[in-house]
Amino acid sequence: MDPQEQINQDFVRIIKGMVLSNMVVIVIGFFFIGDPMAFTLGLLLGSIIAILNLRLLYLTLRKAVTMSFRRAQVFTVSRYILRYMIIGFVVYASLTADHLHPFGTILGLLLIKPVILGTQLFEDKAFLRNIFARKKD
Amino acid sequence: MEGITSEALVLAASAIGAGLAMIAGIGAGIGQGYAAGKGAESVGRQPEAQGDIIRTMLLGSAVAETTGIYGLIIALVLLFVNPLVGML
Repeated sequence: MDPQEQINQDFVRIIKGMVLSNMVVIVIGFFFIGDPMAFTLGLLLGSIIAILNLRLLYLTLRKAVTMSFRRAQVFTVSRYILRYMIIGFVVYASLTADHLHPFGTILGLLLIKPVILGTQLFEDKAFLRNIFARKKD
Repeated sequence: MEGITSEALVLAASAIGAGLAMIAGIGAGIGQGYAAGKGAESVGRQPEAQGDIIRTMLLGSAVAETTGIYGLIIALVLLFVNPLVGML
């Protein structure tokens, strides 16, 4: 398969995973969180920013691999600081705004990690079996 | 001169704690930069594997980046919400 097409498929799978996990978290949030509407809004904001950050990371890496070693390092770190600041603004906004639940936003931002691990690494049952299986001599 | 109130002490300690928590972001940034540099080297050595290299790096960097976010969140909570002041 074409690598570019595979990356696009990865993105689609990650977005689908995020939507699915968001729905599960929203349903759980309706029972346990005092202000479910603010929680849902925060969660959606966090998830959207996390997905857009992933896209920004992809664009950064695509450009960085065409540079020299030193320039790629500097470019990637500068873009990392930019993404870090975006996340900082979003978390600050959710902490200060009344209509956004900070816990929802933080959960949305961090939810992408288990989704990536779930959709890319632990989707293969054979891989999971191999982790715990004893190696034969 | 007035003495330091307990609230001021907690706020000062929270500010120092927030600064220390931000150290978590440095590691992820350095690691990501180093990985991108090595990725650029790899693509130079084997240009046909560019797509696979970017894909592997993307997933690894995305997972690593969330580790830096933990520290940022702790720092922002200590600065702007500060649950410790309410405990006084």
